[in-house]
Amino acid sequence: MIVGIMKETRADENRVALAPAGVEVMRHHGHTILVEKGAGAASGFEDGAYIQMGAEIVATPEEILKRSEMIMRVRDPHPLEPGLPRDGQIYFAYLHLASSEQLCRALIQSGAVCIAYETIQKADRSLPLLKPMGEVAGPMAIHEGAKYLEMEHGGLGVLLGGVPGVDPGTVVILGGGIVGINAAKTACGLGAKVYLLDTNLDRLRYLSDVTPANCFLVYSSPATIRDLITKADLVVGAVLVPGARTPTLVTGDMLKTMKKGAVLVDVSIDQGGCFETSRETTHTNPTYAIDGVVHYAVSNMAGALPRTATVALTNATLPYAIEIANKGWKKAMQENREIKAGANVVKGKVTHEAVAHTFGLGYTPIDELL
Amino acid sequence: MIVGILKEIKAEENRVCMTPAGVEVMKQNGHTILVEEAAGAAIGYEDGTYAKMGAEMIARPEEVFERSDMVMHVKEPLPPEYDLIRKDQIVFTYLHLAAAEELTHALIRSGSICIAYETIQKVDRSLPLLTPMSEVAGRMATQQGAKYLEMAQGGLGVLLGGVPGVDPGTVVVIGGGVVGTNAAKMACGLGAKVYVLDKDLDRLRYLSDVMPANCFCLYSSPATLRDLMTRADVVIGAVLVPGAKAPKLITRDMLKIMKKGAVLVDVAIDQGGCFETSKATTHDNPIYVVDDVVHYCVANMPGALARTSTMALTNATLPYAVEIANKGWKRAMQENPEIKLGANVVRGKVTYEAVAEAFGLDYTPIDDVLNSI
Repeated sequence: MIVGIMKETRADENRVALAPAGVEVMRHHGHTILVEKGAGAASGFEDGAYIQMGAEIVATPEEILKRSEMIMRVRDPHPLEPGLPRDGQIYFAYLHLASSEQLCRALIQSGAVCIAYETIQKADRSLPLLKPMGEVAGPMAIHEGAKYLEMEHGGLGVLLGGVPGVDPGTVVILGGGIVGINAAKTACGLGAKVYLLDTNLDRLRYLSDVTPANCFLVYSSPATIRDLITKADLVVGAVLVPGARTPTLVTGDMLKTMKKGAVLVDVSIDQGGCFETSRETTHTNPTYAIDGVVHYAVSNMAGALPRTATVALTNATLPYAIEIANKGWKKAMQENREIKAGANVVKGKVTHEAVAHTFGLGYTPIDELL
Repeated sequence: MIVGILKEIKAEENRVCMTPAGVEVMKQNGHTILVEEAAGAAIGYEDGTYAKMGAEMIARPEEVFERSDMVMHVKEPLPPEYDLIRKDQIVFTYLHLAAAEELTHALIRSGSICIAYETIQKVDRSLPLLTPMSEVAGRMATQQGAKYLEMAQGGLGVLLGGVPGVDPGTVVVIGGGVVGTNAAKMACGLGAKVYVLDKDLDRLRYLSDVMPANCFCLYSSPATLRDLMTRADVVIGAVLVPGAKAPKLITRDMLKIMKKGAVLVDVAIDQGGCFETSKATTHDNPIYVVDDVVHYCVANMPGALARTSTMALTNATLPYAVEIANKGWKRAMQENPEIKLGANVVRGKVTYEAVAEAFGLDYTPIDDVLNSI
């Protein structure tokens, strides 16, 4: 199969959909890899490195779109740009269609087979192509919190780890999933007092087994949250309800009970955020303050650390890309339910129920098409 | 004794030299504490809290200087304060006189007893009133490295701890003292590969005993440095040669062998910096780029984390302040050699050799002053 790796076009997006190491593996499987010129530059992968692994460098996105049977990309195409796939082409990327009706309709019209990274799902209901980004965003949330606690940024002026003789900071993490556990590990590594909240008791038991002694596992309830945020120097929102809007766990009123200069980092901002006062920000202008509480709500946090994020993402996507390229999309979906769950829009039909629901479009189960 | 706690007037300085908890202890020792209004406000110590602990709140710094037997500060006195310092008054604060000629002359003129935090020294040659700030700065240094590795800041875009399946970042810490050890602990806690370099083999042995398994303790040599520079994502300059300028361990030429987007954090900037390309920056504008390498060289790093720094500093200064106030400066110096080493300028005489040398002034050993009383 001819697989095209396109350069990302969004601002702040420095990742690339396939690292040179992935090109080599795809080549071993007999596929032809086209890489758009400069696609990996921001992640530290020069065109030369791709060529060495056997990729063909292609100058324009139009040519990649024309020649490829499968397009891989990190982010969704802009609905108006010439990056839209064509009839019968496989489009394998993060799509987040439920948040863009325009893109959804454009993809329906294209007739392409659109497989979304974010809805590929394992039998245990985990989302293997969202995990790596959660693993990057979790630790980053603590780095951001540590930085914005500085007084010049409106922060409290507290060192999370304390020093001998001075009480360490208190970090409250809402949600014990991938983002939450990785944030907690990092905060524990800095020496903070870390409260990790979840409503799943079995998950709390597991976390209590594997996290360090300065991580306190607490069952999440409105009362617990109300109590803990008065003590918190840093609160990390790490709640993900797959396919749905994040619940609001900290209301605007509750900010008034917090320390002035405390920092909120809302990693769940991509799904709407779990603080009522969260609104999306960017890496160039990441924070704002409400009631003296510093808010950091950058969407796509992982985009700022593309060297790590690209490798992490492509480690996870590569096996699926290989399977799709080896078998073609039909057989791949028939034989691997995880890939089938990724089907969002296929040949003009919406095959993902939540997406169809969101926009009142007709839903066609993917099995009918297969 | 009447002890005056002054509000800091230096830009970006949010610390205060005594907490309400410290006031309580001073009161228990029978002293009167005057606190300038709003001295602790920036970090949440309200006037009311000081008053509750028994402090008397004073509106004007002039009155604090006028009434106090000992005044305390965090940073050195600034020009508007020079003429407020009275003869025989004890001034207990960071002074860093070897880099401040005008201040040195002002203190000589004042006839006061100037005891510098930074030269108080223990028998083991450690500097107990610098240690807490080094602890804060060291821990902060790693946090700055993590932040400025982001692409939007000009960094490489590497997560120091990596993720499962992706190699962690490499942090090189030059100097295994208080700053270096604390920077390394944080970097290890994040999950990075951490190299700590020092020239003291016994120190390396100690570090190798106490640090986690992802900390590699190496003997520092130019060859080792050159090799590690090519691999480093973050380099932390943590070299302190007491009383001297920091050696320039990383030259401008060496930047060219580094990764583009690597981050240098120069904690030694207050002593001139240990990278040739370092120049002091501020928290407002902390970084600049030379040869595609991001430089973070904020002087007085702990000032940004003023709550933690204030507590850390006052935990360390309080016992000395209590001893000086209880005994008076003469007996305190006679009985405690650590305090005696803090004497920098006493009744018009320069009693600290390095300061006298720096400005070609006469040096009077403090013992001579104490014996002549």
